[in-house]
Amino acid sequence: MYFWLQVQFFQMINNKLTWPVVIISIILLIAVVFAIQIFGVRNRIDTSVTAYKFEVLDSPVSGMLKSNNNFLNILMLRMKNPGIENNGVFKFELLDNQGNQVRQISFGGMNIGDPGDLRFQFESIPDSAGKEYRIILTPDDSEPTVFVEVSKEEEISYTSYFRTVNKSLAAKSFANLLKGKIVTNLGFFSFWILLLFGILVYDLRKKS
Amino acid sequence: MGNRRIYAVAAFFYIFILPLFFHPDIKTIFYQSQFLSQGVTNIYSFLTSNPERAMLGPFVYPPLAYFLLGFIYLPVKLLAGSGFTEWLAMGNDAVGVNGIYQYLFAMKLPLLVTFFISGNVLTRLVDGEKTRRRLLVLWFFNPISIYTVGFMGQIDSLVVMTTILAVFYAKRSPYVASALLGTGALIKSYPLLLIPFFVVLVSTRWRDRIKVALPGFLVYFIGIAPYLTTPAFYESSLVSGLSQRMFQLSLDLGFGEQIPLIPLSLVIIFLIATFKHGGNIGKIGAYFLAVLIIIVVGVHFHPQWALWALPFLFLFLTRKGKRKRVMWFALALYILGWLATFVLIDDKFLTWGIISTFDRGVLFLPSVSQIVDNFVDAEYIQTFSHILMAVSGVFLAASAIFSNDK
Repeated sequence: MYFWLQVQFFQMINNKLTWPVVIISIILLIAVVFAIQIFGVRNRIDTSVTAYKFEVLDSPVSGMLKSNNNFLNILMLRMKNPGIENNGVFKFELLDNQGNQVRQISFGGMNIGDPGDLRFQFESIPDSAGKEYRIILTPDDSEPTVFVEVSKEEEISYTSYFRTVNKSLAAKSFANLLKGKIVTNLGFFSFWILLLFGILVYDLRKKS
Repeated sequence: MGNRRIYAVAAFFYIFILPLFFHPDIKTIFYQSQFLSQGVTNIYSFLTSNPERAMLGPFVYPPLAYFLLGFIYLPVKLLAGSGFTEWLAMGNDAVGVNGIYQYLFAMKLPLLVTFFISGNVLTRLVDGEKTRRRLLVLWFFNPISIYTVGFMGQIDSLVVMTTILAVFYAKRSPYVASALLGTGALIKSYPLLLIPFFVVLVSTRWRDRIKVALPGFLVYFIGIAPYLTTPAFYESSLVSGLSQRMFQLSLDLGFGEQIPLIPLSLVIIFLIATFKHGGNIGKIGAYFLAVLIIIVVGVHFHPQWALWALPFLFLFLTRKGKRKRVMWFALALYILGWLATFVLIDDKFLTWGIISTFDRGVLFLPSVSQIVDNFVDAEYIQTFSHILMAVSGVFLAASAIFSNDK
């Protein structure tokens, strides 16, 4: 099959079919990627706080989270347990703006990489959209100290996710995500498209 | 019609895919190399003494990789735009940032340039326009190049360029070729293994062989000398994954005795090179191919390692032309084996992570090996695939060594 494809490619590389075949191949590639993203992915990004540095976790560290979507269900934190030597017990808490505990997870030091992303997955919160939460990470007194990534404001850095409950919502959410990335980086996308277009035009004009 | 069309199509294809696909390795190495712009010259000891800055782990490459990427960091940063440095420091799943596509484009572009230079140099190693076109098409449009250069953006393309240049200069100036191998080994260590094979093919006289070997080992030694007193250099770079893995495949003789098969194979190949093809520099591509294929198929490899042997594999196959269809069939099996083996490695960044720039929620999908496990034992499939790759790889390597082609 591969041999056959390669032979076909050799034969068509210098004829009129080259560009249509290349462009169709690219469209097919992107279609497959988008299909996986829309039909396969269930937990989608909600919001995030950018990391700035690792902070020693020798006392409770906290951070604020304002969820943009309902069904908030995952928080990803980045931590570092040098040499994976600390095997103490740590506590992750999610509190609402009244200070009530909404979710809590205890975890061992052995779950922390050197460094590594740590995933806190809990039962999704159905009405999380627009609500504020406080994240608290509490260490015990075990040694050696571990680190957690924090923002410039020294609050926990994280990425939160929500669970999509139907495919149309998933498609809409994915389209919005993509649109947001393109709109906020319009300069680059314009340059990129122009560059691709330039290569295409250069080759076709030279040929004619 | 010349090769211009192939370059144009390849440029279009690779420039299209560069910003869209992601692997954390390139982000990690650029994060670590940016410390050069802050005046850090010993990255190994710096990350050990500043663990809070070692956000993405230790620096695991030889020193030139640090200086090279540290040197191009500033122009890359200019091209990447705002927020680039902050993004580099984030975790492996930091693909949700808005500038991700521009960052990936800026980081991978220099590597794409080296990949194109490699393609161009390769064409100078063969005769005939048709053969050159065939070689270029193979080089740009094969799954290994597309995945490791276009999707992942691995720095292996830099090292591969030095080995291709070494073959290019092998006849013209063996000293330059040897120095190029030593330079490549300062980015990733594997070209060091090629130097002994290169020197026995250069001449039949041991005195000349030693003279040719000197620039290569000297360049390497000068490059690593400032770090020889740094313990972290030994731990994270000198004793690399490859040097350890090369001894894992072994025959257990009992009573605690083992024969490591990769070093054994390399010694056998070295003896063949010395006594059958000593002084025949025309066989350099064949021996580079054999050494690199044996290393890659005999270890638990990273997918980008398959790029090392690729230029020499294609050189051999295009010289063969259509005479030996069995060779092309072996190539198909080799690539199929490579693909199925690494896809089943339990590392999501090799599969779903590649497309995570669109929505990083894809990282929560079960790994391919977990999905396959629902139907059939993934380990069994992986073992079979690796065997497929090993058998076809060894067949191609042996064919190259024993072929009559120059």
